[in-house]
Amino acid sequence: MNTRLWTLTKVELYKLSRQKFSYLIVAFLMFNAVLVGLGSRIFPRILAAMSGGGGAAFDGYTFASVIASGTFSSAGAGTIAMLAFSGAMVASETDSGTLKNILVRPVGRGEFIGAKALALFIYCLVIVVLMGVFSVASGAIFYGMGDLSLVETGEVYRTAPEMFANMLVAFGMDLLSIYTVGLMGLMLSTMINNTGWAVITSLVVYFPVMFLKNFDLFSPWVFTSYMDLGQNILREMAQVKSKSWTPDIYGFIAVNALTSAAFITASLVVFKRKDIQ
Amino acid sequence: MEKPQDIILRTENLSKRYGERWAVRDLNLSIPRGDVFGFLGPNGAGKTTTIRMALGLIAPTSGNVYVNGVDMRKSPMDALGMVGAIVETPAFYGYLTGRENLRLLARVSGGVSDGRVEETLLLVGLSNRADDKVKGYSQGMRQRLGIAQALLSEPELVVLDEPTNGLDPSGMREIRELIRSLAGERGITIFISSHLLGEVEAVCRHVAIINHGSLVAQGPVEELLRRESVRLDVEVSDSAAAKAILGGLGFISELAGIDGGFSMRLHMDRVAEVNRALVTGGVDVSSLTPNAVSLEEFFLEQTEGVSGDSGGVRKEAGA
Repeated sequence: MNTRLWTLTKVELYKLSRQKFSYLIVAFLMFNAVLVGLGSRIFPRILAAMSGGGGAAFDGYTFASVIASGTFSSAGAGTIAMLAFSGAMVASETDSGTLKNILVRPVGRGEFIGAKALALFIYCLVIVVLMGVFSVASGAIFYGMGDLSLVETGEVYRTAPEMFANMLVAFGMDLLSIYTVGLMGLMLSTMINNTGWAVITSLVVYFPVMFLKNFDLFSPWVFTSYMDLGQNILREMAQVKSKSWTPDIYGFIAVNALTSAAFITASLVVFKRKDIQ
Repeated sequence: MEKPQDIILRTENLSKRYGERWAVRDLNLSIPRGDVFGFLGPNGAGKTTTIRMALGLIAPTSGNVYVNGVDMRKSPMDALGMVGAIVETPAFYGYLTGRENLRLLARVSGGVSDGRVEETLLLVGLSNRADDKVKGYSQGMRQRLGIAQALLSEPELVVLDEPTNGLDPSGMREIRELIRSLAGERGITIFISSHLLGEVEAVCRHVAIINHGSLVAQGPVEELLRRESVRLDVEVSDSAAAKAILGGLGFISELAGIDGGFSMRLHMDRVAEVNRALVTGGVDVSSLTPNAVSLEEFFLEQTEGVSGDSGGVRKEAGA
């Protein structure tokens, strides 16, 4: 990798590591993951309703349901948190004036955005890994580990290695989903100078984009259509829906990769042409 | 005549237009190497826009900026590698300490050691507060940290936009001394934008004055002020006769009576003529004192009543 880009990325990661906001988001999502898991044990029906028939629908007996609660966190709360976080990424530097300190140095604007995008990916990775660890830990504590068996018949529906493999796929997909959302926030952050407005705009713009998935014309092409896919892989286990169900992983990867590329390209184009006031 | 290699920063017909309004128009600046250069202008004259264009923060509508002969548009990284700057209020990450902020900017600059960070902290007198978070810094401390970050990469040119903003008189004096020593001992060219004319007059050898986006004067301070009018105080034996003689001289203005004589405004070259006229007219002249015009007076002369569209009459000393 370009040494300079990596240096700038490390600078970004250092800043992230020193900001309380970064930890608040992580803490909020971890708390959410554990709370949903715990709640599925104590209040199965409420959680079943909350998660749209997901997590606790299998009477709260499955380890998978708690893991699903982790992805539930990332799909909902994670998206909101990521939009708020990434929406402020460039705008806060423009707003406070620190951007000028950086750009009057021999730093390419493309490198600056590249470093932000890379740091955002690493941050998303940390969040998703932690969310996975917390979800699995709370699942193991509340339900124990092992094969997933049906309560009524005792039949092994999923073996533990199968569940683990599915879990990795689900959280991997979550990482890509969250990152795509984050890149949308980053793109808007390059366009708006005021931090508050950039965050609000990121949140406001997301909802119409999410709404597009309800239209057949847009559904296959919009990344929000695939955001629940990781969660659904675990729900399938939790709810014992159908072993023959296969998620459209290729569609998921293609749409998210193309959308991410489009967001990064737009960020670069806008930022390179922008007058820094 | 200065050779191209003696010029560290040059703008060539630099212009910036926002909609129908020209913020800067056809600006041709030449900043001599190793000098302290003052960039003056009233609020809204286009100083900060010029500085931002010079530093590549905003794109000019037309024209070019050259740092050490390097075209800012074509090779911004090479050009910026030779520059350190504060643009407006120095901004830092409040959740980091002063030292951490500088270390972080040192990494961004590339090739700046931790030792250099400590050196700059010492230079601006912040070593003892370097481990405090910047959010607890006073405006003066932020200003010093701003100067420290501008000096990190040992640049050939340092651009300081209002460097004494928010400083108390002793802080201003310290910064003034620092600027002098940077230019004098280290050979760094300092480009200062300021509206504190006394400050500029105290440290700058060259100035440029901009008004309504256009250059109205540029050159060595001494030459610019010497070339312009002086205030002449004369003490005479016969006030009535002197008044009649002086009133008949077409080249003086602002004639006013003072204790034992008169005060008037005229061009430096005409002082001897006043003396000759009075003596020839039978008036004894006991003293004749030309007082140099201050930079403030010169600045006001250049910037008041000049039409923005016409750009005024440009004066260049030594041209």
